Amino acid sequence: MSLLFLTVAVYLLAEALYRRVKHPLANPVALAVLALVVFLRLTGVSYAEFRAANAALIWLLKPAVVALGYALYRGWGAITERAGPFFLGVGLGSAVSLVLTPLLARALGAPEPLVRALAFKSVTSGITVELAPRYGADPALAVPLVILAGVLGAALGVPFLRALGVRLPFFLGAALGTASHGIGTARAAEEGPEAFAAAALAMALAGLISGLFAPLLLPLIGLG
Amino acid sequence: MASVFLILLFWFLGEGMSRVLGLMPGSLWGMALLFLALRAGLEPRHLRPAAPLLLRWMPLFFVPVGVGAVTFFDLPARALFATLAALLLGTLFTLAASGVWGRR
Repeated sequence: MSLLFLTVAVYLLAEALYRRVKHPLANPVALAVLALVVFLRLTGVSYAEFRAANAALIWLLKPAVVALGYALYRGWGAITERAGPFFLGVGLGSAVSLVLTPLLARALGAPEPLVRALAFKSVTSGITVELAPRYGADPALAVPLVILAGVLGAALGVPFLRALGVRLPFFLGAALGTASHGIGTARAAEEGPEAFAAAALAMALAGLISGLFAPLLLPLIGLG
Repeated sequence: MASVFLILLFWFLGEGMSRVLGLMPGSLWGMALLFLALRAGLEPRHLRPAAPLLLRWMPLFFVPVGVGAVTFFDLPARALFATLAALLLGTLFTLAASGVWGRR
């Protein structure tokens, strides 16, 4: 119980800090996770004990994933005449993330549990928690990688995409939402309301598309 | 309260779809069904306040899972390096694959 209270308190503090700093690297989720990891390391509380105490919060992810259907509906109007390149981008980006990331990890010699976890690196965490166990990946390995993919995309995404010639805020947002989910979406907000709407929609859509693609694509690379 | 009921209803329907058709977890089916119902004319106001509240606090809900990062300390340095390198490259490839279609 006190560990659940600690999680909520640390997260609220991290949010308050983020509102002051307003930098994507000070993302509240990343900050809260970092602070709690340090806490567990210092006190020696096991992750199993911490996780059990926080089961109520983790349970709430399931109805929250259902609520993403509402977010998807609200964002749908942002697509307008750019539907073609938008859907192509979200679909292809999700497929690349699902297949290419584990292949790269395998080629670099990462151990199999991490290869599996990396397949979900661009899927918004709530959906990762649901999806990963179906493909033999541990959410406790996958979600930290998801958060890190969010922070990396938020930090490097805009200059990288500009270098590739992507300048329209709408497509900067689409890429940030697809590759870096909620953390990328927070970064996209800095590029204006159009980028933000595209990112929020891309995040929800990429999560759903990954759920549909995973059973088709992951068996191809031996992760079925 | 009606909005809480609707979220639970779509979750329940989603679990049913997951049992019958498989493919995706029940909550993800619930998300798809809720989206389709809204497109088909379900009034979005019936989902308030539950849906916006769940979305507002979703980041808090996955913090405890993210703390699983504590287990990374047990990994050999080489495995950690390979994972982070794949994560960085994979993120750049994903950004490129999803963004370049809007190049002007």
